[in-house]
Amino acid sequence: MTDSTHARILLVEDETQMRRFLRTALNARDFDVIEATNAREARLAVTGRPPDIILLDLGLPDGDGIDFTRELRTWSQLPIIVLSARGREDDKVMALDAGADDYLTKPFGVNELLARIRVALRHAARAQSRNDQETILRIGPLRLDPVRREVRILDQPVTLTPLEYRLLLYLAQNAGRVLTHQLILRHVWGPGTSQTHTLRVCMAQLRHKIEPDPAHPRILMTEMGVGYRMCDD
Amino acid sequence: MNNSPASAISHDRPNPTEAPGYVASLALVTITTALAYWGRHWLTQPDLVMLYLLPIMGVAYRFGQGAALATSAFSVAAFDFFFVHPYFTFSVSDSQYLLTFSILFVVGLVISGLMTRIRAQERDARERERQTDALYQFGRELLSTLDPGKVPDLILRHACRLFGGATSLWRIEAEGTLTLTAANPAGYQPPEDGLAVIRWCCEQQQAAGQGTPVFPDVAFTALPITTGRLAGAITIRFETRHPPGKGARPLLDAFARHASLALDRARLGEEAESAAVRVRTEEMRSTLLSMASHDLRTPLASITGAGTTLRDEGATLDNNEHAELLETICTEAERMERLITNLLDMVRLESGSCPLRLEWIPFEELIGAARVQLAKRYPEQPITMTIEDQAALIHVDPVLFEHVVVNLLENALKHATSDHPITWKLHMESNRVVIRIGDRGPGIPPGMEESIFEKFVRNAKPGVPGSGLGLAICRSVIQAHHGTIHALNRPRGGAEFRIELPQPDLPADLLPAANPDPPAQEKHTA
Repeated sequence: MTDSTHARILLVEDETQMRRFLRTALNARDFDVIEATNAREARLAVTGRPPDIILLDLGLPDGDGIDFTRELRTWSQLPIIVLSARGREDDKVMALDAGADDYLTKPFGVNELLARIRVALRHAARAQSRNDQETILRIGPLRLDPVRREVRILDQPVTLTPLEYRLLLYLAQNAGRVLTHQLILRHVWGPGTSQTHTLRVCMAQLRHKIEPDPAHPRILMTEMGVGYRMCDD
Repeated sequence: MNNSPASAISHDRPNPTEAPGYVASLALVTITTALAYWGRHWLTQPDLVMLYLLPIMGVAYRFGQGAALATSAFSVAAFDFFFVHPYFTFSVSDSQYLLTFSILFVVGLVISGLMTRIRAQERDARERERQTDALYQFGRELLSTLDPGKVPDLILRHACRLFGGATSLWRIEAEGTLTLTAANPAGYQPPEDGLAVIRWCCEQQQAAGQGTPVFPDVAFTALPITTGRLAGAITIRFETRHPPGKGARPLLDAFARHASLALDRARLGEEAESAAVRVRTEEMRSTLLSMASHDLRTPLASITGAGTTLRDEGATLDNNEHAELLETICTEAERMERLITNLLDMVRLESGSCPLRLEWIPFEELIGAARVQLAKRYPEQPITMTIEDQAALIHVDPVLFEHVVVNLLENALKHATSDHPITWKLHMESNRVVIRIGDRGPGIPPGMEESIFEKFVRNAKPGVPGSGLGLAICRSVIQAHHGTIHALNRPRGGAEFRIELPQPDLPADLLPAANPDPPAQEKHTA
């Protein structure tokens, strides 16, 4: 596993001021920052000595960041965090479905960016380790044992239906990441189910079993118009 | 009223054959002679002469002067033949009868003249009445036409009804181009060589063509139309081949005047409307500008001030001052971000470029997401939820409706305390849902219940941040959902917002049988 404090970050961004801010902030956290100002430079940087993570601006002078993401995904699973001033939900869904790991809308605070980088790096590391499927997951008050299919909240066992369990497990394995509706539906319900409301109803039931106050969730967060995210702090 | 397809104006026709008049006069004189002959023993000769005045009068009234003169002649002849000695000859023995004949003839002449005049007056009066009626109808329809665009067609339809034939309306532009505005029947075009006549009529503002001294040979009459700065003409091709008579001119002129006024009114109406739109746009723009210059510049000023202070005076500041300035920059930047987001949302909603994506979503999820969004600025969120059904699903565009929930919640959170929490109530009915959010704040100033939904109208103390766009966004979103939103003051203080949304039937896979619901409950959270 890469030590996250010395991870190499490829920053693909054409705005000088934005690059300056990110470089300063990331260097201060001991990240190595490689800079690219367009898609061509980014491609070169990735094929040379691959970074540990890519921060990608969507509006590049020589092409769309989403195309770059799709292209990269055909041969690499490098974590990609999209940084974009396009705040519309459609853009987020498109980027995530194209294979981006996360999406941050400009403007954002540096703490939020660092948190997302941590999540993405951890997720990438976990995906590489073989015994991922058997690790006990601990997220906030939640404890999930994939081997015994046991879920506990503050050490109290919770009974879930098979669907609820699969949904919770999928979110927990991707804790901190935004998962789009389509991604969750495909993973938990299998291909052929596209009714978002099926997912919403299941999520509501899950919240009533897990959240202390389902009307003010702390664990299972809604990303309106995009999907869901399990909070991992 | 003239409802027949025949036009309402008289034309100068060649005198119709008066054969029926002559036949009638012959017949009447014969009858009169027969009567007189039968009564000759009781009647004196002057009586007999008087008797002959009757057919003269009758024929004069019914058939006009020519037949009346003939009747006079017949009468004199018959009187001479039957009643003047020697009988049954036209010879006259007593010269005094020549005087009688002359007087009879002269009286016949005078009577027929008078009668003809009476008849003409009567006919004129009837025609004037018909014309007045037709013009009145025309005027009434013009006045009741609200759409200025329909006025030209209406004018031509009436022209066709009044004058028959085919009509067209022309406009001459300042630079001299002649354009056809409308025609009736559709597609009718005056002959090519008529364009010069129409142009002359437009430019000289005088009638031309058939029935006028100018270009009398073309097959239509052109009447000038003046509407303020614009000039134009109506052409009329009459349904008969005969030019309109002199009596038609007043009607034609009156019609043209009516049409001019109506076109003028339509033009003014259109101008007033576009002026009103311009004023509204202008007002909107200036409000937006003044709002943007104030609400965007204020946080920007703080950011610039704090940033330059840190850069230029950083060495002389202590740690506390450093921290304070940094905090200012962050807070103000966030404020600007919210404002810009609201402005962009508003523009997007108003441009109609965001089609609704309706989905079923638990109301609770919308509230939850809104509370998470506001958690940073409002860590304390005293809220009471009364949802009849915890699993209540509403059919909305989740992203857009989230704006409504966030805006209303943020509004209410400004006034909420743990003693007086915000109340959310959701009430489902068969085909609609009623959502209410109440607070115990200062309420809405009387009379502003509707205007607070206008853009940039703010009901907040100066200094309280807010763009004046939140409620306008709410209303836009609700209206896009075909719902309503109202604000009212609660009886025991505070404001309440009430949303009503139409709702379709739940799809089969979401019916309550498939999802057993917990009973209604109330929850307190902080």
